[in-house]
Amino acid sequence: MHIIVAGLSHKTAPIEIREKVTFPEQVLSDALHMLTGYPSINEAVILSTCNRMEIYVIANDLDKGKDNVVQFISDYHQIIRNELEKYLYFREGKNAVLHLFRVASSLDSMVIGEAQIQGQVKNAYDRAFGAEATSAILNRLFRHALLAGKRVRTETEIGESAVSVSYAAVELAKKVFETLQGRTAMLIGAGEMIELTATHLVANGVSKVIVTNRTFKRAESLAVKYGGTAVPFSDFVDHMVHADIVISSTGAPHYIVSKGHISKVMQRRKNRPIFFIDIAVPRDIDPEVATLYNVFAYDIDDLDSVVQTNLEERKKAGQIAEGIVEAEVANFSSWLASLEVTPTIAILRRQAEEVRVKELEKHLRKLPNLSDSDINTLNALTSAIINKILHKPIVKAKESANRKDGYLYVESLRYLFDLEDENGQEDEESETAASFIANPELNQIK
Amino acid sequence: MEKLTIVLFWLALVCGVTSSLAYIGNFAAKADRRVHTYTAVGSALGAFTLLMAVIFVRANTLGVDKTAGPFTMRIIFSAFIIGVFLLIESIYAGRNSKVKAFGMIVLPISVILQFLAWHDYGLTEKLSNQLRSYWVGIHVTFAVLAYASMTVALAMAIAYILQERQLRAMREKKPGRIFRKLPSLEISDDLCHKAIAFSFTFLTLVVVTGIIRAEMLPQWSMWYRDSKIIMAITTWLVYGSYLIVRTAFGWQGKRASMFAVVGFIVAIVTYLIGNTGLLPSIHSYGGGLG
Repeated sequence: MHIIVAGLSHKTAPIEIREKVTFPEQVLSDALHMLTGYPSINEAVILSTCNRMEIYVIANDLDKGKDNVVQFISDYHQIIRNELEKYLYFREGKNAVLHLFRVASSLDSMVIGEAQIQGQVKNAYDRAFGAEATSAILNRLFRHALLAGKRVRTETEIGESAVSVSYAAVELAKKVFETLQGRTAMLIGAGEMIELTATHLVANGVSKVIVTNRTFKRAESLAVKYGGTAVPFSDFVDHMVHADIVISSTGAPHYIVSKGHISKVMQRRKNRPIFFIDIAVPRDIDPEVATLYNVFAYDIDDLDSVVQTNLEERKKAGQIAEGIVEAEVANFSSWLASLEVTPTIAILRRQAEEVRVKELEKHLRKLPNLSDSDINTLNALTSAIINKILHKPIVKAKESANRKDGYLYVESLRYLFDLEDENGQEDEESETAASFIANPELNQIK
Repeated sequence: MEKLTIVLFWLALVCGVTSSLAYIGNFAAKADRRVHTYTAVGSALGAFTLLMAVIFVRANTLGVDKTAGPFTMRIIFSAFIIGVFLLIESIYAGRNSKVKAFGMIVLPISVILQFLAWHDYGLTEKLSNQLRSYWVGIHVTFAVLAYASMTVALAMAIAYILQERQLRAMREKKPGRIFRKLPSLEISDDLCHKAIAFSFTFLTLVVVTGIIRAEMLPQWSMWYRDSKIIMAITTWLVYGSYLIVRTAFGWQGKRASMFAVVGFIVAIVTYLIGNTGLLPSIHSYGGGLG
């Protein structure tokens, strides 16, 4: 039983490749059926987002498992294997677990801390669960990963603050206004940045949008998009009295909003707070307006400084998050190790041997007249009984461990004999367990 | 029974300190810990309940004569501050959990008051006949309510001023704890306004009940020349003008917050007169009573 992840992401593959290997939701369950049909694949989850495509499988053989997954991707998307393998990365055992936990905690994302990935992981798992492609191990793995992701989100500030200029504008506005619900925003200019920021504002509740632009047509088309009104560029200042938030980004070579304009506007607004975002370079709004009462004005550099600080904060939060993730991985690994057959057998043997030695000593005390050779015979006899009794279950356990539901036998064995790890990891030198711990480096197929 | 009240009082103090630490801890923490939040609100509620219990148990067992004094006064004050704050938190925290950040300022103030109360434990006033009146009881209760909500308003005003300073200097000052943990300007301003409106209502009642009582007694007929009463009316005027300039001149925001701070300072001076015997006043009767 091996946990393997094979995939490609924004870190290893260009968009041209990534778009070729996506699995849209409607084909997921068919793809999962096909994948679990491969001989060595027991369980599978396919995580397909715009930044990554990863396949998590439980395989009963490490090399065959990897091979099957690569074969599956290349068959499904009709890509030549050699071409595909250049971009793929593989992780197995503990590293695969760590990888998934980091992905689910958004530590592996392009912008760390972004919120979407958690939902995407959950969705991928739900689909696989629905398609009956998962069983005990992946079920536990994904639930645990989502839990770790949730812990990271609640216990660190990783996703709290804005890391894009347009979103920083919204964050700042929300520090002045309690809510953007029902506010009016005025857009001066109709460029891409304006649209991006306006979209964020509307998504956060801004209900009325006033658009003005030198070419009135463009203003009108943008106004239609947000269900707002367009006003002529010549007298936009008159309409500013209704606006709580003003975003400006025109190509004007000089200030188009002066302090005089705004002080008149503020008089008519009865000093109700107004919020300016100037994303134009050269600037559209005279920075002097910020000296007016209840006027909050920001330019692109202010926003950038917010973004930079927030990015630093995220990095710091990311370090804390890595600690949380590691702890959760250790937690999961100890559960996983208990499903390993070899250490379980070793514990079983040790337990039996302990019983034998104890009983033998007890009874030898009652038989003080035995010769050395008698004692040796008794020793051999008891050992032989123990070994004979344990022989069949051990052979059977080893046999069944490689089957699809092998972990069930191991779990039953532990349950029936009440086996407990005594000194932790001492038996994990064995083959199968070693594959979980060893090979820490990323096994990229050359 | 006295032992019981002392135990209750110390428990209240422990609750107050725990709550203050939890509120401060939440502000300093990387992210909200649910444990902290529950601890903060739970112990604040505990402190409030215990303090009220102390007041009632003492009044019941010792009688009003032996309880009227600075100790009781400060306990009531402390309890009301927590009460007013918890009221606001219960209404607004659902909408904006950052409102809880005010607790960081409010709870420590109430703890300080409890320490001051302990400082004067057992100190009682011999109540003169003039003070044995329901008018005086109502007058004093209203006064404490007014002071308590002023204190809460002060916390809001301070939060506003801190957050505004940060927002005015985004480039020089990296957005830190204040930026992230204090609520928006709008809600600080709004809650400060509401707390002051609440306070002003009771302040008005305080002045009215005080004057009515004074008019009842011939020896107090010169009340309008009393230093504390003059200060109280000044406080009333300051808070009254806060309410007027806000709406009339559009002074919401920073100016309003500064006004709230000034108003609070005037109120503190008013409170201290009579308490400290700084200036002669008919309120120095009660010593710690007013």
